This record gives sequence, C-alpha cells and structure tokens, in this order.
Amino acid sequence: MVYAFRWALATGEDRQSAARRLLQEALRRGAVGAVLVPAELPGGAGVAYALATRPERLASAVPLARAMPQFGPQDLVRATEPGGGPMRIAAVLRPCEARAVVELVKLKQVDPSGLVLISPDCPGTVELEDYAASRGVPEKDLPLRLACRICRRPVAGKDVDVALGTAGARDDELLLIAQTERGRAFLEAAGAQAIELPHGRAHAVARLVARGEEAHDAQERASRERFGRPGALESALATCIKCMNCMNVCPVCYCKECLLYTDAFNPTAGALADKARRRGVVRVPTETAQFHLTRMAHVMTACVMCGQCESACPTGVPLLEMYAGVNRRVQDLFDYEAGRSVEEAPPFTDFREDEDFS
Amino acid sequence: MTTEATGPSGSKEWRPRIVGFLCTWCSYTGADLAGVSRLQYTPEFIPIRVMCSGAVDPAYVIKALLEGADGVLVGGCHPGDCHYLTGNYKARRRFAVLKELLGGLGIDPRRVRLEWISASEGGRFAATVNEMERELRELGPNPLSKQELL
Repeated sequence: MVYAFRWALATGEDRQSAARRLLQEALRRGAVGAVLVPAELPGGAGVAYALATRPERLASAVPLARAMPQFGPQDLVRATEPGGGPMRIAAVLRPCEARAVVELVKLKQVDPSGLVLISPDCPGTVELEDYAASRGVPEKDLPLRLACRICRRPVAGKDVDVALGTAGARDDELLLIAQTERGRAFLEAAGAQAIELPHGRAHAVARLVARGEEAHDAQERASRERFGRPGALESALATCIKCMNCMNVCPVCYCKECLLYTDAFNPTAGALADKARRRGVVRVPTETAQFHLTRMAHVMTACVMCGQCESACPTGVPLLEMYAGVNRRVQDLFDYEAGRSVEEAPPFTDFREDEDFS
Repeated sequence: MTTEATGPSGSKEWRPRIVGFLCTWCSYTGADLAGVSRLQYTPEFIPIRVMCSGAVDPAYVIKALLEGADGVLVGGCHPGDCHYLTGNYKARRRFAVLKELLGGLGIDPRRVRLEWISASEGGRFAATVNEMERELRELGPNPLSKQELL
C-alpha cells in the first residue's frame, strides 16, 4: 500500500528549496531528530553529506543535488545504533545508495528501525569535481557519471520509506510517496498534504526504468565484448596503484577485518623478493589483479552499481565498465537483485540443497 | 613459471599444473585412497588440505591462478555429506560467482572446477584429476600468470 502526498512549492520556489524546506519542517515538528542529506560546501567546493539536528543548519542542504557525495550509506552505519538509537534519522540518499542500505540492513550493519529512508527520482549525477562547474549547464548537457548513464533503477526501491517524486508530478509541487507506514507517519508529521496518487506516476516511472534497462543492456554487451578478450583485464588494471580507494568507498564492502589486508595478499619483504626471483620481474605495487578479482568475488552479489569505486579511482581504472559485464549475470544466478528487497537473503548467506550452477 | 617449470616429474614436456584444495574429510581422504590404491594421475597436481570446501575463499583460487597454476580443483563432500553440514553448499555458491566472473573477464572458467569426491572415491578422484589435465592440455598454459602487468 502506498500513500501519496504533495508538498506545494511556494511562489518562486524551486524543487530544491522546497525539498530542503520539507526537511527543515520535519526537524522543526519533531518528525525526526536528525537529517542526513547532501549539503553544499562553503565557497562552492562541492557537496558532502551532512547530518543535521537543527533546522536552521540545513540552509545549505541540497536534497536533489546532481552529485553524489561519498560515504552516505557508511555514514548511516555510523549514525544508527542497534534498536534505532536515541533519535530517528531521515536519510536522503540516491536510489542506488538506498539499495546499498538495504543490503547493509540484511547484513546486519544498519538497524533500520530508527531510519526514514528518502530517495528522489534520480536523473543522474555528475562527478563531484564537475559539480561546481555544472551549475547552470542545461540538463541534457550535463556530463553524467557512467553509473548514472547505465542505471537500471533510477527510482526508489520498495523498501525506501518515502519516494521523492518528480516523475508524474505537477510543476508546482513535490510528489511524495510513502511506501511504508513509517514513511506515511513521517510525511504526516512533517505536514505534507495527502492526495490521490497521480495517474501519470506509474507510467512515468516505467519509462525511466525502461530507458535505463536499455542503456544498461548496451553497456553489458560492450563490457563483455571488451573484457572477454584475453589480456583485456590486465590492461584495464595496468594503472592501478592499489590505493584501495575503490574498496574504502564501496557502500556494500563492510567487513571490519579484511582478508585483503592480511599478509597472504601483501607480500612482506622477503616474499616480494621471492616472487621477483621466481618470475624474473614483479610489478610494484604487486597483487593488483588479485585485489580486484577478489573484491569482485566478494561484493558482486551485493553490488548496486553506484559507481563510487570508479569515481574514487585516481588512475582511471574502468571499474564500473568491468562490473557492468558481470554484475547482473552474477546476481541472476540466484534470482537476486542487490537492494531490491529486505526479504531476499543475500546469496552468500543462503543456499538451496538442490541447486546446480554448472 | 608454468612453461619453464619442470616440476616433480622432472620431464621437460609441459604438463598443466593443477592446485587442488581438498577438504580433509572427503576429497583429501579420497586422494589418499587413490594413492594407496596406486591409481595414476598427473604428478603436477599440488594438493592443499583444507578443513572444508566452504573454507576456500575464491581469493585463494585466484591467487593460485595468478601465481602460475594452470587449473584449480576444489574438492568437497557430496551434498548432504558435509562434515560441517552446509559448507559445501556455500562453496557451491561462491564458486558459481567466481566462474561467472572469470568467464566475463577473459579467463576460461574451465580452469577452475568444483567437484564432490567422497573419502571412498579414490577412483573418482584420479579420474577427475586426469580429466582435468586433459582439458587443461587443450586450453594450454594459463596466460594470466604471465600477463600480470609486466
């Protein structure tokens, strides 16, 4: 059961400001105790997530920013406590990040009982470094991130409490769709006005999804073509400096103690010399292919294709392009889609006795 | 490493090198039985005894491939027979992911195998290794360990 609400735009107000005002109002009225939301940094430096408890400190919030700061889902892990903690938190996350939160909930990293998840219909984001320069650039000319250009799920999944709709909405309102009872309570407490779900909504959403599916399918084919060739993997990883940024920003990579930090995968002094003797030559830093293949084997079932890994890479390793060729196929093995539902068990935590993958 | 190596057999001819992660309760004991039964299989097989096929992280299979193995065999108990009840079911899922990844990244997934071999199946163990060797001969030396970035 979904419940539609509207939040009317004030005269001369844009959607960004209206969405900000909604969050401020929610704080003011005590619908939640804190809000996690992208906010503009001083001096136009870009955007970062802010966790605000006072409405007046939300002046720089940009809930509909066309950029995706890093660490949103990870910040939720740190902000929430088992049982929900002392205050309820509303988190405005992109649909892909919200899917990551769904994965983290299932992996028992986030307790959702104190959360109100809010996701806008996502028209795509630009790299953080392009954010300032992209202000005023027409929609169609924005240099969207690859993750966004091939996104199959640009709208809130079913476990998101509130979808912040633009698709199917009138020009003078924000359409708010409560997809859970908690979302409904939040919107009522914030003072949003209940309405009938607009007829155009479902169709507009279906069109967004279909466009994303098409772009994704094309990229999947291209990626398989590119990386299916022997040697392609090595050249794709050639520039990797093993800084592990891709791993550190990955919202679904959650182990506190990582296998990849152990000695088995980081040659100690003698081991590197041994390897050089054995092979004749060894690239330094070593173990880059080991690192990336292991990472993929570990997280591909949970990967939501947010592309933060690629955005964080200082040397341009085409990580997302690589993942695009295998992501859906890996999840299809288990009829799984990362972030689709809190009810679906993560593939590595589950099995069926009679399954056969050969 | 693969092509220059002569290996335990001492022969100059290239033979595929296979690393085997064998669960101690079933497949390793099966390999033991193959030995005491004097069944022949390639001397380029390198067994590594593990407690359970479910303990074989794909990381170690990948490591073997990158460090010069031409193929990797993971041996576990038959479904329903796992000493730890469900380890082999979990191995099966991890392995399915690994094969899908390798296939999408230009590494022939036939280089890795997951087989159920019980403690009484010495014959099956030897046959599996021999069959794998035949297949790897056709595939040729593993290019991955040579191509790794230099």
